[in-house]
Amino acid sequence: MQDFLAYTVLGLCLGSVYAIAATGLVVTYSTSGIFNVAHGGVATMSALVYWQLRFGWHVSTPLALFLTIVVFAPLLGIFLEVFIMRGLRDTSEVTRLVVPVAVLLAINGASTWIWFRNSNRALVPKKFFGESHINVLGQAVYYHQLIGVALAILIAGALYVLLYRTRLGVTMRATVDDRSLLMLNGGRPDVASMASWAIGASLAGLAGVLLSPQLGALQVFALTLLVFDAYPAAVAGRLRSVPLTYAGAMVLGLSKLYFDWISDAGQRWLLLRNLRNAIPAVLLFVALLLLPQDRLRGSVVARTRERFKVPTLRQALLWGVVLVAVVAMLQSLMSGSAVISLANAISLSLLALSLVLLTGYAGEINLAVFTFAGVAVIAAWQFDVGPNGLATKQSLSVMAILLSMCVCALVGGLIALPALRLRGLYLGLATFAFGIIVYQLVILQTAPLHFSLFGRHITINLFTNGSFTVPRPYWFGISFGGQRAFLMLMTVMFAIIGIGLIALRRSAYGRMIVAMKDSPAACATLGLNIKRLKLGVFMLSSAVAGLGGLMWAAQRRTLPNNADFDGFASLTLFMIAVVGGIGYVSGALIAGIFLSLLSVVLPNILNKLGADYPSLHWLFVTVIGNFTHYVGPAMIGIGLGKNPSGIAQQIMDGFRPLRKAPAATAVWVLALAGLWMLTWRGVVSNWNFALICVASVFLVPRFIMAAFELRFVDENRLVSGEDLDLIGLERPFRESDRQTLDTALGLPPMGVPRAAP
Amino acid sequence: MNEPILELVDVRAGYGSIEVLHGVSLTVHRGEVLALLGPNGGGKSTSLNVLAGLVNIMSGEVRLTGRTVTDVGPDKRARLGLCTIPEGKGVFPNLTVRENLMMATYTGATLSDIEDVAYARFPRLGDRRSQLAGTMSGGEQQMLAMSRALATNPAVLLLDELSMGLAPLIVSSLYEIVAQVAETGVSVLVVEQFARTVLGIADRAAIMLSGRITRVGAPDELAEELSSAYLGGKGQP
Repeated sequence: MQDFLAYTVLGLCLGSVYAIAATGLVVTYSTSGIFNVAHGGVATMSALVYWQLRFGWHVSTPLALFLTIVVFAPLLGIFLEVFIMRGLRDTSEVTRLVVPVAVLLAINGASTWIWFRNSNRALVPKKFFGESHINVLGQAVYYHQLIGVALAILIAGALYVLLYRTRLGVTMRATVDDRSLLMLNGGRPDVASMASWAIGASLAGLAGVLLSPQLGALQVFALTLLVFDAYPAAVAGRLRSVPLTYAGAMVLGLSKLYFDWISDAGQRWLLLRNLRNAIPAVLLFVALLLLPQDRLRGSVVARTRERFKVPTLRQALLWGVVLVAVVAMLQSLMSGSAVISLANAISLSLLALSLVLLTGYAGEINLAVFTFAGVAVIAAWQFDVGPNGLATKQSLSVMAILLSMCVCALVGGLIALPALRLRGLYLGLATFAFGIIVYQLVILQTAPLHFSLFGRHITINLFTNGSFTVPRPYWFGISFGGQRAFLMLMTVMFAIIGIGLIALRRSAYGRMIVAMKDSPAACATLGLNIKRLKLGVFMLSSAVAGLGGLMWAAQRRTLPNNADFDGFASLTLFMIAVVGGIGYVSGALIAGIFLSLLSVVLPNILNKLGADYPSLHWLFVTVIGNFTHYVGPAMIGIGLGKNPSGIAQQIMDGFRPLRKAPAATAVWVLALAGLWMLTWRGVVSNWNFALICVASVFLVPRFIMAAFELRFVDENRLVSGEDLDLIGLERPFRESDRQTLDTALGLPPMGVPRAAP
Repeated sequence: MNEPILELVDVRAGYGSIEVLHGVSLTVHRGEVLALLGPNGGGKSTSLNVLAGLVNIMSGEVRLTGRTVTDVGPDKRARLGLCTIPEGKGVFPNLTVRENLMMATYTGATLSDIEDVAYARFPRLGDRRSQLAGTMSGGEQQMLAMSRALATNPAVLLLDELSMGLAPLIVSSLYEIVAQVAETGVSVLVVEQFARTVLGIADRAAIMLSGRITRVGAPDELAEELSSAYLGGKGQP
């Protein structure tokens, strides 16, 4: 009993800090509608700033706290609001989720770059008042923890007064309700948003400083994950209610400590020893399921800035063939290591294809794509290779792939089933929680699982000894074990699935899922069964993710269980896929290429440059290399706020002039093919080939536009001819000019007036 | 005629690449009630939003007391004395009545003054001061919205479709209040589809069709022209 009480006290102490962290999330969400995933990053950076001030530069504790919590963190919050989050108005839920993810990665990248660039220094944070403590029921409770409890109570009171008793606080709430009405009242919503982001960031910073002593030494991602643990509390408060958030935080703190108590700090049941880390995710899942039903939206059709066009099936087939041909031609020129990079890119693109279906078409979110890859690998191994290991088999059979796709579909259905009534952000969070749970409880298991079912002894091979070795296919008498053959296999697969997705999108089923994305309410009134539709899409996309995951694993051959499954990789892939253009199959391709480029190719090039020019090593490696490594992907994601339809759209727009000049385009393509021939025969060097290709891609559309006097009237229309503003200046104004102008201005057509009889 | 207080000068405006107002000029004079009438989709609400500053214009000019305010934001215009009550949503649904009134203090009035005026004019609001505005009836919400106009002493009052979705009895009592506000010297621009409800209190009226002002005149002059305008007979260029 005494133990129980002691653990309760400690649980409440932990809960208090979670409450502070989660309340910050609630403040920003309830005033901006943005679930600030970057909250953990702000907390981490603040903790590092505090460490730097207090222990690096030996500033006194109160001053260091003041500078961190009252100066640095709010300024960071205001910076984020003004320069990034403000641009997210009128964007879809997906964009509003992706950009904060990018910000999180950017902040964490910047933190790593500033504090851990050169070495893995041990930055050891200390508790306030050191080890001073009081004894409660035989358990030491540190002053540090008591300060946390006191601050949590203080903040709850202060927030209540702010939000309900002051004009600024009421304005913050009014901003969410009706931004333009607030302006008509004379209020300044931008000031209110800045205030709420400043407060949110300040709370994040405080939570970061309070949580950091839990770690022996500060580590960027470990600390971020520690703050992530508080997110379920915010969800328990439906991202709006501060009291419910506090209740959720207490449940969170208590369940962690009670688990410590009954499991002897995780020593009792080995199979569940990672459960402590998964508790927040489990609670997140539970909290999401207990949330009251979201009303069907759609009474007001949401206007968003994202626009995706659907290619015809003929275009899709053509581009599929073009893709395979181009990859075949390119790989014949490439060196071995370049082929590996390209194959990596295509394998990631295959994974991203599942997101095109789920997010791009159906508008739902899956933040655990890599988890499905892990599930697929376990399933394939189980069905194909068996417990005896790879020695018995050297090929990934078709049957194993199909079976593991089925398993993924089932698993996807199982998560989606309880989460069917959730939408958008909440469904995304549910998948994220699922990913964490699977990572902690399944993927981190290093021993096979033995159990008996109906009298039969069953062994399930998990990541035994920490990794899987996945064979590559040997089909139709062809071995795809070699890198080039496997690259071509994956490219063909990508083309086939991509064409299939476009065919699906153009079918009645495709129209149904797009309709579901636009207006669930309208679908319901038309008699569509939304739940079945959503379940179907989720299962289908999980199956695609399973296939992509298997190919990705086979590409890597050895799949360790540490990286890629902890949630960040899935977040990154999701982010890059949205940036690439989530509504397009080509967006998935771009996403894969980008990820591969940024994580492998670019650092290699920069390292090579650094080695070749030692005097410029600092520039290439230290500055550009580290920057692109740590912050690059994130910067691309942040740019999404400006152009939410993604890169694929921009590229297609860039090539649109070619359609108006088919002959010139044909000449250009033939010239490139000829150049490839020369390169293949060794007349032109690879380097020059690449240079000319890239340059011509940028220059030829511009050249054609200039040569044929093409102009973009607006983002959608490309016309040839003279500038409308100049009509009538260089020659007399004619009747046809008036019609041209009327058409351009969108005026109703008028008959040409007849002469009086 | 009095000096102009609020003017649109040859304004072109719209949404995206679609132009809705094709060169609109409209003047509200000091102390008058001007009714802006016309069928659906004619650009009335867009004109009002242009005046309030919510829609940016492509060309032309917006003037308040003779000075150009084209580049002045809606919040600044509100603090300069422009009180706009938008169509059907003049209140913050998730704030209480009292908090709604608190938002009106940005115009410079104190909360206690605003509360005094509002509760004296609409005793029902006083009974519901801590109720969420969104849970009140449509009529009560319009009362709350009108309280802002009554209590903050604006220079110009812009009203969009006050009658939308309300019972005729409530509409006529709301327009009585508009008339009272006008008597205190406030200039009023009323946008309405249902002309009859508003012609009684208007000093002048303007008819808007397809993004153009087709007629301005005294209310009784326009009364008969209106029916043909609604039926699409005349007025079409």
